[in-house]
Amino acid sequence: MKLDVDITQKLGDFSLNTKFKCDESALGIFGPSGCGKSTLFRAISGLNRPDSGHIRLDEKTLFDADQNIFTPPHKRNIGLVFQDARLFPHWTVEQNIRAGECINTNDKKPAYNFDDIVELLNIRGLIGRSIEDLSGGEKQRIAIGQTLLAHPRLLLMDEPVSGLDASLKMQILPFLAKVHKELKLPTVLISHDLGEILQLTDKLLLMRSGSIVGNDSLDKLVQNPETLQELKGAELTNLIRGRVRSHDESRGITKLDSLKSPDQLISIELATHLPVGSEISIGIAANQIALSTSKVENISMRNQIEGSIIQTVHATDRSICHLETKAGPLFVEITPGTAQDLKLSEGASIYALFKSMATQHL
Amino acid sequence: MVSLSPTEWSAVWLSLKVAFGVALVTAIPAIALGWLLARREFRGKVALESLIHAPLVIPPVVTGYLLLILFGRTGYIGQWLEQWFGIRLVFTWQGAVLASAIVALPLAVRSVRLAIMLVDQKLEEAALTLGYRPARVFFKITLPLAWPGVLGGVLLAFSRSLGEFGATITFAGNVEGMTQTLPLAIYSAMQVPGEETIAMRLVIFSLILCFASLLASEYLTRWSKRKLES
Repeated sequence: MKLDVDITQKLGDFSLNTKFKCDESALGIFGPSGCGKSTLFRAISGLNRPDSGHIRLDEKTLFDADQNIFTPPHKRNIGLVFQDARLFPHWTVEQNIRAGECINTNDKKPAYNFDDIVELLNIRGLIGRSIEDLSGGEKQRIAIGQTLLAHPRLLLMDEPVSGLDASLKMQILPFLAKVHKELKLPTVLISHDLGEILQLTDKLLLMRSGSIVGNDSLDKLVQNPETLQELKGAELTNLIRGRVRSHDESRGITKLDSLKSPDQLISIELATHLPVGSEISIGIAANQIALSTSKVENISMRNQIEGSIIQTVHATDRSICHLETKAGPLFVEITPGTAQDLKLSEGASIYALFKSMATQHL
Repeated sequence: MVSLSPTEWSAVWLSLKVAFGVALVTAIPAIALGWLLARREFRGKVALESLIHAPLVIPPVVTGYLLLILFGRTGYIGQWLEQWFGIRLVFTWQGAVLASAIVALPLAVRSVRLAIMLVDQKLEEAALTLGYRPARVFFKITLPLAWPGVLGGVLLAFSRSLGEFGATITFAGNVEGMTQTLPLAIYSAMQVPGEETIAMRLVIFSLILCFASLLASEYLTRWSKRKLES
């Protein structure tokens, strides 16, 4: 995906002034509510016409105020999944899923069909039901299926799981990551939950009051004090890639080899459903990691990963210590005093400690 | 059981014929105007709204008079219609349809407009992002969802035309068997001493017809609201 956006739009008291480029296949947009994330999506999808600037997608100009180009939404072929699943109440579930199927027909054989989508989203059992009888999570899955079957070349998702409870999120989020990966569909995800975005990508666009205040990978954003400040209030999550080595049922843990250095062992909560040898991503919150200047014996934290300090960045609400470890780069949330007490200086060797229970499988 | 004479029956049938005609000719303009007023902002919208609603407040006899000026045999449009198409509206039942339709249109437009406004615009946007052309959005999403309200509006026009008097008598006249609808027949009967029973029979018929169609219209409007608000 090559997305190039440079637009301004005034809507009452609010003004959107957004400029960014993205070459990644997936992008997360993060920012407080009311910062213009949804307005930006409406502009990209063509539901809003910006006052000035341009929007280009893969070298195709969708909007250019100077050249008076404006491709209407129905010709953009950009899928938009809304926060509130917008299903057509007068149609059945199947009609809803198939709503956009026959519209965007081109010569190419589509990469996936109705049955693939039904399989992927696990909605076979809902086909015969009426829209009114569906739960929020079911509606959202149908809405995602509907959008996918219109074969968009870009998928925009506006907080697709924010209205759902935690267990439903856990149902839907893996689908989104799977959809992106298996259908090779460029995706932009709006969320106020970094963990949600990280399941899809670590490339982030930070927004505040209608402007872009950061556009980089999460670890780069965390390393910069200014952008770290913009992440205020966000729960920072580290991503560790590993390969399942073994399951130790008597101890209740599953052991992983870090992909970065295979001799580094990582213990997570027992997850026997993961086949041995499979590659997985785990998340560990930055505030769930403790630091120690030496290896600690007789402690319940199973993971002690050796590394060195790259730098410590201070924001008003917290300090973030960046480490380079055998499991990859990690950021650790500490109180400002910790840095002084432990005499944390750049290059010093350090151990990152966390419980196997504190990890989550992404 | 009240029995009607052949002339009275002809008035009843003519009323129904005119009312069906009104329902037919107002349907499409009412849908188009209702959509325009519900979904579009444009210069002169207030003027258009006033123009559409004018027949609600103008005395019907004035509406009939204006129609005579426009569609009469020497009227601007009437002359043209007769010259090119051989169509004469004045003093015909088709003329009664035109007069009633003008008077009933605002009611139909209001009802359609309300029904379309109740359709969630978010659904229309969702359809656009799925690749639906605006016309397709209208016929596949907006119209089906607003349908009961649209039907209610057309039925309201039907009901209104059953009671139309002033514009009809002015423009189409009161010709027995040609343009004498139920209200006109009642009026005529009341003019003749000793025909009060005839007038009463027609009044009962008229009331039954009007209430039946009004009830149907009200029922459809409520149904559409319930359906859309759930």
